[in-house]
Amino acid sequence: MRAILFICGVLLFASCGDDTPKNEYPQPTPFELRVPVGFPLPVIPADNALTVEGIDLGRHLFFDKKLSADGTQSCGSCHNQQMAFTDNNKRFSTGITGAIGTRNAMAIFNLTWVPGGFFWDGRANTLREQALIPIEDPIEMAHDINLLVSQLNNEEFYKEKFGKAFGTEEVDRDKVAKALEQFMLSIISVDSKFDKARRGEAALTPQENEGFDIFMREFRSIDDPRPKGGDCFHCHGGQLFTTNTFHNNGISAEPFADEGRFRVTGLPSDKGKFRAPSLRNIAVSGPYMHDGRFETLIDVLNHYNNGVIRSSTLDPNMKAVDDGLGLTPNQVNSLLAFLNSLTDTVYLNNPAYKNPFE
Amino acid sequence: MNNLIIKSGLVAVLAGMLAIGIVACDPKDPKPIDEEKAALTINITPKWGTQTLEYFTNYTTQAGNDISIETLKFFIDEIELKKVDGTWLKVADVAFLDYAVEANKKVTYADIPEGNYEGVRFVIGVDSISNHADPATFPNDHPLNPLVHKTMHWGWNPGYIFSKVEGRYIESGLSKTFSYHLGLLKFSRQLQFENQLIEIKKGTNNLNFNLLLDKYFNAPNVIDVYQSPITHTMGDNVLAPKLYENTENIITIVNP
Repeated sequence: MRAILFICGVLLFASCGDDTPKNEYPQPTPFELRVPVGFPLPVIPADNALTVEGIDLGRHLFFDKKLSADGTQSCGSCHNQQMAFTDNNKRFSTGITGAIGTRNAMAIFNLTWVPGGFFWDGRANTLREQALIPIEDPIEMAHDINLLVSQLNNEEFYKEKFGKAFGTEEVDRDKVAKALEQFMLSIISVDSKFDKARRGEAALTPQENEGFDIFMREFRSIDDPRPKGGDCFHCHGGQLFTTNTFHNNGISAEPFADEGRFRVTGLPSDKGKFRAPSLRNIAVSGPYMHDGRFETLIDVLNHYNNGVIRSSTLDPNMKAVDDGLGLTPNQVNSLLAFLNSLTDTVYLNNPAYKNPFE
Repeated sequence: MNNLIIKSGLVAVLAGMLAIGIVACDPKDPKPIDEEKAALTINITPKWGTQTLEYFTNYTTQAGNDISIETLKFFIDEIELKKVDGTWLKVADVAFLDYAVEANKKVTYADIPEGNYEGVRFVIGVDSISNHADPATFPNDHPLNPLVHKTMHWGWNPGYIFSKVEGRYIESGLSKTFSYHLGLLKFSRQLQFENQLIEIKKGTNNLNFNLLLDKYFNAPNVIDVYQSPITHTMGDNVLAPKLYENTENIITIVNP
């Protein structure tokens, strides 16, 4: 065995020769996500372990306007931390050419618990795949990744950061994607009032508790005298407040203007289906739905209460399509109070997620 | 270019190490491989009558309802084999079956004790301890972790949804849906198959079953989907018990 190691050592040494790069970097520092009890273990890609240096690089890239073709927009331009990384209450985002998108900018947090299917229609299987798409989308940042890689390769600032993160200064497409993936995976929201109440660090008000109860309770038929539930948890249940699944929640009539998940799978049964987003930080991440059609949470609750539209792919659990949920205004207000308790100011103000260039 | 050379060098070194490692490997080393152990695949095929169930296909129930199925998901748990001495040996735990996902249409358990058995039984449901455990405590690839089953937990309180059958029908020209979710331990269903000859030997062993979904709607209770399109078990003392009764003979064993 010693002989084998010796041979390996010789081979390794010989292969490096005199061309050893000038700058050598130590192993990056492992980064451990802080995940409280009650959350699943983080899911980190085996080939992209989180490191302090990788996340730092990803954060710089995320907020660097060089990632757009004309240097006017960064990822952070449409993903504002104060709004759960959504686009400043805009229904659609405006790209560098002035072109306007067709879907609402999605929030960024707890993506370590998204098992694939990023974007409203789930068209990106991995976060690193997702990360590059807006950079190259002609109506968003409209850049060419190969050009971007050349730009970054010419900057000592980035060469050093890539060196620290990945061991070599050479920038390439894969490393850009992995760095952005690391930063986005590091963004965690686990400190809402609701979370603190579950940990015994805060108490929900009676109204918030009633809202949670409605949120979790099954819907009953209109003739049933028992208290009605909002039945929200089927798609937004558990600690993550999403099941990471795709549904038609009855906001559109057929034919669907945006066919959603169907565009990815080609299955007619997927027409009009979109990702059920997490409801964490929902109060600060409006407008709502894939096309931002609802300006306020009250609009959203009114939709579920009495605005569901029947169609051939409506989710079987959208049971209030005929007569509505029948929630009273007080119950709607309680649901609203509960949803507000999901706002996480620790996450919204976390300095680790802020723009490093400001 | 420097990096490329280093990478190439490393690949060569690793390839060399691998080659040396293979050569150096002592064939007498006790290195168990899969074929040296017994595995058990449980394959439950959904049927409507004699036909294999197809999603989004119309079927007529005894109540005269024309329905189509688009969701069939359930947990099986507590898999036990009956030894020749008449005792039951637990051989495997919970698995999640989802007939919309190719990989989840059957389950294979490793490390099953070899031998001859005279029966098999399992539960449609989740054992009582796991049912009330915090879902986040299960590893991320575990069937009970929410990242795996996604939609089969009721949140913090009552535990897991043991089975879901959902679908669609046309009534008065309108597309309507039904959604049947069964859970709670009282609706955990054990299915037992005795007087079988089951030989578990090295390699993969198969136990094949049919799930007769038409019985779910037809026997012994005739379910009128149009009249009763919803049960999510909670607070339902009428439809949920009827559907539960209909699961008593819903699975048949094919070829032990």
